[in-house]
Amino acid sequence: MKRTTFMWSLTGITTLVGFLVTVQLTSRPPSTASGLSSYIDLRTQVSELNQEHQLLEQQIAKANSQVSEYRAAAGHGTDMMQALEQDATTVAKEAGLTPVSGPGITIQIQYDPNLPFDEQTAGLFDQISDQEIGLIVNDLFANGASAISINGQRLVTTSSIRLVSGLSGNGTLQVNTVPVTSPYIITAVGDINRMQAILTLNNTVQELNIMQEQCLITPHPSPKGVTVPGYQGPLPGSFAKEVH
Amino acid sequence: MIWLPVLGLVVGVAIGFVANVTIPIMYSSYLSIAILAALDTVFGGIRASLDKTFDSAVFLSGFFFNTLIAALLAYIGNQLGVDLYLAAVVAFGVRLFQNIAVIRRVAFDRAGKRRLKGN
Repeated sequence: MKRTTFMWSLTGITTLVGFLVTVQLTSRPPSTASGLSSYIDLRTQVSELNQEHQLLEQQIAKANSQVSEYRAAAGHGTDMMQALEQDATTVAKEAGLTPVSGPGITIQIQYDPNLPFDEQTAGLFDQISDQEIGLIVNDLFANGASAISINGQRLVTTSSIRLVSGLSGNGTLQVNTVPVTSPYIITAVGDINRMQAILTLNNTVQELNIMQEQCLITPHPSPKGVTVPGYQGPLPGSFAKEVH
Repeated sequence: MIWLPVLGLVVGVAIGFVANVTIPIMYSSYLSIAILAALDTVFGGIRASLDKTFDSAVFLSGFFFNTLIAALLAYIGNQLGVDLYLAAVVAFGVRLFQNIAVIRRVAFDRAGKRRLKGN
């Protein structure tokens, strides 16, 4: 009886052992020739791999968080940059820093000896060219002109039109402190009809003709009729700095 | 009757192959220690049977208890960072060899007695 119990118990236990051994053998990955020489090697290697795995997971987590931060920052930066660039473009356009083109007129003023000579007014233009051209551009700005240049010098809020006399007495017209010479070509982008109307109303052509200056007004109605260059001179804050 | 344990071993191996049960590699070490404990119990049972001191309750409880304790010891050692499984390996290994040695001696004694009877 005791022997029978022993045999059946042993049979059950050996069955379990057989099962466990099989599970263990089938669960283990095939070892390489140069690989695990003992159980301790396996344990050590598994432990090292686990530690390495944890370190790699930490690195991945850090990298992912960095990527998320960069993506968020890049997203905000792009929107901000676009908005700022748009603002800068608008401001630059309003300030006259960018060239513009559109329908407009050109006014060419130059000495014409063929015009009738008037003793009192002949040659007067050379003495008051800054005033005359200043009046013309003011009238244009007040009547539909959105951008004006004189001989390629863009007029902005800080622009100046000055007649500077030298020691010889001959005056030189300076626009934006840049000397310009005859023929003076005023290029204006804007409402052609209004600009022509004010010039007609003020008898600009006749007034200049009296001074033996030819004034040729040419309309350019096409969408890109005239081009006014951008302002290239120094900006107000280039040299002068605010005192704190 | 001696073929029954062998048959059980074969059946267990067959079940293991058919069931195709696998355990994660991280638990493989625990199963190794458990198998060592189980083998110790088996050989301890055989020795007890030869010594006429076999008790099925002790045998069966010893098998499960030793197996679980060995695996638990290995697990605790792994958690503590101490190779406690080595203690189990040494203890079960020593006992295993002792039991096998005893079984061998008893087997030789019985064979010698049979030979004497035959003469």
